[in-house]
Amino acid sequence: MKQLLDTETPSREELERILDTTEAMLEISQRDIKKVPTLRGRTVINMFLEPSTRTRVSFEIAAKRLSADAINVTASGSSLSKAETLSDMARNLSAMQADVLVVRDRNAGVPAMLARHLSIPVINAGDGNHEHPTQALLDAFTIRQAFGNIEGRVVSIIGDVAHSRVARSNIHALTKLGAEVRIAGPPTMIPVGVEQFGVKPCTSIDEALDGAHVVMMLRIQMERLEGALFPSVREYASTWGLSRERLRLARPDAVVLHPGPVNRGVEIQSEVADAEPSRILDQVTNGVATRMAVLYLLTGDSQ
Amino acid sequence: MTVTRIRGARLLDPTKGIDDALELEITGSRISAVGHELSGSADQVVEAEGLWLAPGFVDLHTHLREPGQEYKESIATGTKSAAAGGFTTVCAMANTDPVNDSPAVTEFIRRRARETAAVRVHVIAAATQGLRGEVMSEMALLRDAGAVAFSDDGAVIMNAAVMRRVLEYAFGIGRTVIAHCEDLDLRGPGVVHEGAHATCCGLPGSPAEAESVMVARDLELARLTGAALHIAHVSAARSVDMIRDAKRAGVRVTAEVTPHHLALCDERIRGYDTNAKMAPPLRTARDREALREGLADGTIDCVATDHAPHAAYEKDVEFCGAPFGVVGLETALPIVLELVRERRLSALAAIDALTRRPARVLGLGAGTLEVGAPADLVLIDPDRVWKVEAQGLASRSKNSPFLGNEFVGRATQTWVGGRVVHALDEESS
Amino acid sequence: MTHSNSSSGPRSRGTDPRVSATEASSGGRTPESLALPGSPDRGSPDRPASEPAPSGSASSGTRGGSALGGAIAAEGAALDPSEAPQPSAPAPFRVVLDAAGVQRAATRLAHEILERNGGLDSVAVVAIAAGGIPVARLILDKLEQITGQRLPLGELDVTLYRDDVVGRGKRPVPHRTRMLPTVAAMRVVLIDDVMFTGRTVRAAMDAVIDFGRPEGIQVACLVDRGHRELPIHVDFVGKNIPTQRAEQVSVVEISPNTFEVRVA
Repeated sequence: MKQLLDTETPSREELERILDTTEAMLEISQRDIKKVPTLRGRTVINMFLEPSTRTRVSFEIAAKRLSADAINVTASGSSLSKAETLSDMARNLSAMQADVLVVRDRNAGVPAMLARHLSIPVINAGDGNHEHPTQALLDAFTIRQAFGNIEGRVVSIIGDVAHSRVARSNIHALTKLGAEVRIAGPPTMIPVGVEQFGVKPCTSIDEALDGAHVVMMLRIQMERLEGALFPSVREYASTWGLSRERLRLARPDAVVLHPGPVNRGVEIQSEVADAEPSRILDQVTNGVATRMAVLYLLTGDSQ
Repeated sequence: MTVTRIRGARLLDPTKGIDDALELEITGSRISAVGHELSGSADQVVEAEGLWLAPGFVDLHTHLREPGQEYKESIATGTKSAAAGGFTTVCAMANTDPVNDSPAVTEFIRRRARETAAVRVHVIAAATQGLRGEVMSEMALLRDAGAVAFSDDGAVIMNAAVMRRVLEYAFGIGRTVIAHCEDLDLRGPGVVHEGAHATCCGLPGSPAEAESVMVARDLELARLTGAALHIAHVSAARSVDMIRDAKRAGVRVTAEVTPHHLALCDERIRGYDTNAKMAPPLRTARDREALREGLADGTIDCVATDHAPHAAYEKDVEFCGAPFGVVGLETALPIVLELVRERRLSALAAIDALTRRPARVLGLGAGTLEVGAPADLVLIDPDRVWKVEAQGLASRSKNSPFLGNEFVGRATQTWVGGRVVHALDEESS
Repeated sequence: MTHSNSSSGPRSRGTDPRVSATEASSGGRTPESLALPGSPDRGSPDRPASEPAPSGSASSGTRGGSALGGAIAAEGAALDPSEAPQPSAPAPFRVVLDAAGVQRAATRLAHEILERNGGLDSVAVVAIAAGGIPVARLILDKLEQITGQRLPLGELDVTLYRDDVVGRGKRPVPHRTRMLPTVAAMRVVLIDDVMFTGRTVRAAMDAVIDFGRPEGIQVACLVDRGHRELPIHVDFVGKNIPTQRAEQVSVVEISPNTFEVRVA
């Protein structure tokens, strides 16, 4: 595996190899000295062309725990087309002698397009509405941690699936790993053609929650209000939000995931976000370990 | 006057329904004879065994970019590209800089064409001033300056009342309105066809209905006004159905399809190749099938390239930020010939879709091999295998979705007014 | 994934010590096929064990050594499962230490560890995963028989410290380290199955020190096959076995808790 641009491309075995490696990486984060020398002298460029704190910090910590030098390049707002061409950007990155490029961009496809011009591994840290593969891997790892395996688990992804890169990556990864994936959300937020991905669209949150092992709530983007995709926050929260009562429809041992940051009171009530079934903080912890695993594996495989 | 005889070719003339091994003679700028074993002396003989001889192709939809965007294309380079693709007549779209909404710009383009063009250039002028979709352009003056049709193309006239007035007025002055049918509100931020591939790529989609609702509107307005409406680059199956019905009902509508919509479907966007980004977008395989059917049954009158050059650096950006459009003049022929090999079209029908039928849409009087007609001709090697490569394209821009493709069939020689404007084998030798 | 070494790399130890030897084995075929011809010292470390080794090879000596010495030379082939050579026929091997010999060696090692440290009070036993784990268990059994005291076992994976992994090439999947609660101020006894180039021990010393500052680090192995590449001294050796550099040494579990050492 030379790139991690999405979860659609890798095989099940490749995904499992990352999850298995994450196990070992998780232990490192629990030590007093949270650092191993594996990537000593390697340079990881974290190019975040869209504002993001947690993913950037997570990748930065991951790189540093492997002893790599992590360089953050941030820029916000403006699109590439107004700045420079992709091949110019790739040439510049190559000239910096980086060993790994982690890229977040507001535009779908930018990591893949850069990867075409680069010989180093490129890791997609989220590109527009396309994918966010490390998020899906950490979610899969968190599910495996909770249940021991993923095969046959019922995972319900609820919210703005159409505009969620997290949902896309999870749909590809979890179906490949043997889970039964359901999706639910306002009809304006269910992407066209999604049934072709082997997921079951549900018409209500209650139907989606029924008997679920994992409830994955997506963050609702407030700017979607402007696009007239849902009428009001109040209506969204009451129709598609996760409350304690609703969660009772899921299995008693169900866990709740959310990619963060959480809109409390909108897609998820605080009583759920802070309660026992929530694995939201585990996700953050596992995120670092997952990204360590990806950095570790890709820096070797790309040679 | 120089006499050139072309012999040994399979001669295809849709205006007379000829598909036969005939010789053709050019004297000066005109076709002087067509027949079996022509007698008399010739200054030059072109041996064309195994080749097809057809009228030069006519493109109703070409963006030559001059004036204003000569870094993408010029009248000189765009028409050279046309000649290389077998086209002898192109119709230049109005979205130049400045916009061709005044007789001065129309005259400028015609003058530059006389000075620099390799093939015949007709001018399509803007339907509304500044392509803003608000106030109609000086259509009568533009007509007098030489405009053959009116179109705002991608700057869609969203206001139905304005569109109605444009159609009415154009009808009155005897010109056709060419409509790029796309509801820009329904398209929204869409850059590709809305469907599973768009979803997988995370790219904003535009449904086929963004086109078909506008086709429906414009057909209704054409019926209302009695005007001649030409629907540009049809991409959706529903549009084909509606055009078919409207034609049956007597609406004066014609339609074109691009080679890329005949050849590709939305799967092509996987991998984010910005050379697969155009408006309207590549749609589903089912839509593509309907387009092929529509072309075969005559619902769609002709093939038009929507040749839309863009500089490499403009396309070398994120998918959503890249401009819409692809070059198409040099790759149109093999795509249409593919339909002949698949027996969807006869050889004569394929040539018809590139010559007589587009000429008839705007009354251009081109696309024929009649004796006395201008010697606008193309020799085609239907079996020539070639690979599309950026450096091999005559267009100044290389934004083709077919780069790297192997095609079968190519224009080997093109004449405009009896003058050779493209000769493949001489170039390569 | 199945347990075992589908994921293993230069060290290639399985999670389950019983099958860990598959690293050197041909994926749990017959014991005879443990050593792989064509691969200098470790057969196909990454070959997934299609079936768990029946009698399981407990650990591959090769790894100890080969992982260190040979694996470097043979990196590409040894590390990439797809490139692992297929065994054409069971390789011949000779038993250099039989089951009884292994038991005697373990007993001797236990006595020596006790003697050197004057008891077990400040001793922390850490096995180098995965091959060292069954050997360490044997030694802990002996120590328990002698002293009545059962020590906990730390399991240390050193993949992320290895100089041949820190370099480039297909990455082995590391095993989860399960370290003792503390090693600070303890006498850490590192246990491995086969001592070879010394590179594993070097990596292990770095790793141990990351968990705290031990009073000292000692090294015990069941077999020392020589060919050291680093100035690493072994404190406790079960048996010295002279070998050719290209040979493979493996500790094989021939029946539950019964091991022998083979050279192929």
